[in-house]
Amino acid sequence: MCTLSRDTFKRLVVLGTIAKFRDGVYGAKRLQKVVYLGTRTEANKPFPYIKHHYGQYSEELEDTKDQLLSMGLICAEPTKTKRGIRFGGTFYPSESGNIYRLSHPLEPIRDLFTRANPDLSRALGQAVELYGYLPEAKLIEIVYSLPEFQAKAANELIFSADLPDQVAVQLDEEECDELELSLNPKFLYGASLILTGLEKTDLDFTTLKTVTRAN
Amino acid sequence: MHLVAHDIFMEQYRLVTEKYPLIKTSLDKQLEKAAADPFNAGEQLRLISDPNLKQKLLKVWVRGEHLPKKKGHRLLYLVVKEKTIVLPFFISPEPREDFDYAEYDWEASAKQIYADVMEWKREKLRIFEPWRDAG
Repeated sequence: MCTLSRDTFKRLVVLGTIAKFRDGVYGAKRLQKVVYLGTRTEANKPFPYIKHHYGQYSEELEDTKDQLLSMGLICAEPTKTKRGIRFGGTFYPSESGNIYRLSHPLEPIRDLFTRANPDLSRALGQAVELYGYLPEAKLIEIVYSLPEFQAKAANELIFSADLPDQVAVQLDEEECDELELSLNPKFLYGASLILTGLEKTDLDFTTLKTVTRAN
Repeated sequence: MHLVAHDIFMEQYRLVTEKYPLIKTSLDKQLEKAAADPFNAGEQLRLISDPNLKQKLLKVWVRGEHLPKKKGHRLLYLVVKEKTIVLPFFISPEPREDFDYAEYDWEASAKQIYADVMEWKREKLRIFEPWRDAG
């Protein structure tokens, strides 16, 4: 048992949710709605949602997805047609243009997310199975019909996030440490920058003075 | 390989060994191992997607005598084989469990190291071999 920072946990939730799809998520809107449906009744909600023009929307979830894209942990591929998707031999109309997939094999992420928070993982897994492959129009119809959505005005908060700064997860210290570093965009940027400098510079390191003490 | 340390790491090393003197033997041993056999002394971060960074960034636990089993300070280093250098760039100032990575300004320290390396600021860098310190 250890803890993850709130931001790392949120990134793991998004990665873990995408990993539950058999072949990526067809559209950012679908990801938004599935995470909403999977977390709306959970005790600890990772993302706040407002009533947006296109239904339930979380800017924090969108930001988190973008961070994962920039870190190369997920990739976005354009669908063959912007008008729809084909899944299991059936064509589903869709307005969204990207398929979001993990850049890594799915299984390690699925496993980490499942063990980190079994309840949330189960809830999101059920949401993916129940709603993740529906035609987009049907999915929108379902989320629009929810009473908490009907009761809100445009741009009004539907629910807020309520994660603590440090989220307890059922992983060991090594796994938490790995996630805190690998899912931290500032760390990855910093390490990449230093490596770039070391590789690019013409400085001959072997000519530096040698010391045995720090002071 | 040459273990090259920037001022930033030297300061981290000084502070952590002053606060936790019992870590010094273990830390020096890990640095010596990193210099001698960097790819076996540390572990890669499995989830990093950039293959170049994944191969050259390594992590290792430093378990001092002052710490209970399974607790440790995190040491991170980069390896550039073509230039025969190993560059440690972070040792957690506290045992990992008591330290939040969010407290550390990764961007600022990286920019400083990058700039100093690119501008050949030799006074900011040195080959560091604390395991040879006779005391």
